[in-house]
Amino acid sequence: MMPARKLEEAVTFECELEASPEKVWRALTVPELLAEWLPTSGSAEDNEPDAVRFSEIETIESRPHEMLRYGLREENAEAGLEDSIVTFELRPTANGGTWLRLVHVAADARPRIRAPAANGNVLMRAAA
Amino acid sequence: MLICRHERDRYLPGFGRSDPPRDVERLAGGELNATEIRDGLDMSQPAVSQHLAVLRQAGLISEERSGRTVRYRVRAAGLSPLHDWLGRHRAFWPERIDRLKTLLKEMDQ
Repeated sequence: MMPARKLEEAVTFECELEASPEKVWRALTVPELLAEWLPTSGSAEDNEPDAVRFSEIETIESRPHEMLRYGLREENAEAGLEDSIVTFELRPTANGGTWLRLVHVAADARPRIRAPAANGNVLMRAAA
Repeated sequence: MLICRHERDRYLPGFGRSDPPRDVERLAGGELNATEIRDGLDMSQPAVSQHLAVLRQAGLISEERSGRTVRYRVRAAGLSPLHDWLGRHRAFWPERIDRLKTLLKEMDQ
């Protein structure tokens, strides 16, 4: 009898980027650069009801040029799954590029981590 | 209700590769028993029964026994919100990374 298998609970993605880890890090962390490729609610492209749009991006953990973890809030997500966590791992490749690994998991329904300087960690919040 | 290719490959590996998943589409129209499901498919009866058991354990179909007959029905509520979340976000990230790649080309050091 074939065993029933649990659905994976994370989205993972890996690829090589033709840019140094330092450059990739800037693209991931500088708010103006991040906004170029990771849309937030209220942007001009907000025309599809099912589209993924984050209303809040908050730094949870950061090891420059190596690992970055964001807490994300998505208002239009499935019930109970509005909060999620995405982790980016960066590794230099032999030819000067970056191997990027991304893991995105839906977070449990629990209070989000708030660092002492909470506003300083929030990269992006959509206008009310 | 259609089972997407991701589910089909996970719960019914090797099933319906050249055909669309007709068995699930036919189930969506009503009830079928295992013999009716097997009709037109290139699978043995035990293999069909085994796959149906997996689908039932996964909550995707329900079974109803009546004497010696077992009838199967698709459970529209069988797919969880997490499944939908996964599907949407699996489709989301590759496009975002493409945009990141474009940005990286445009950035100076």
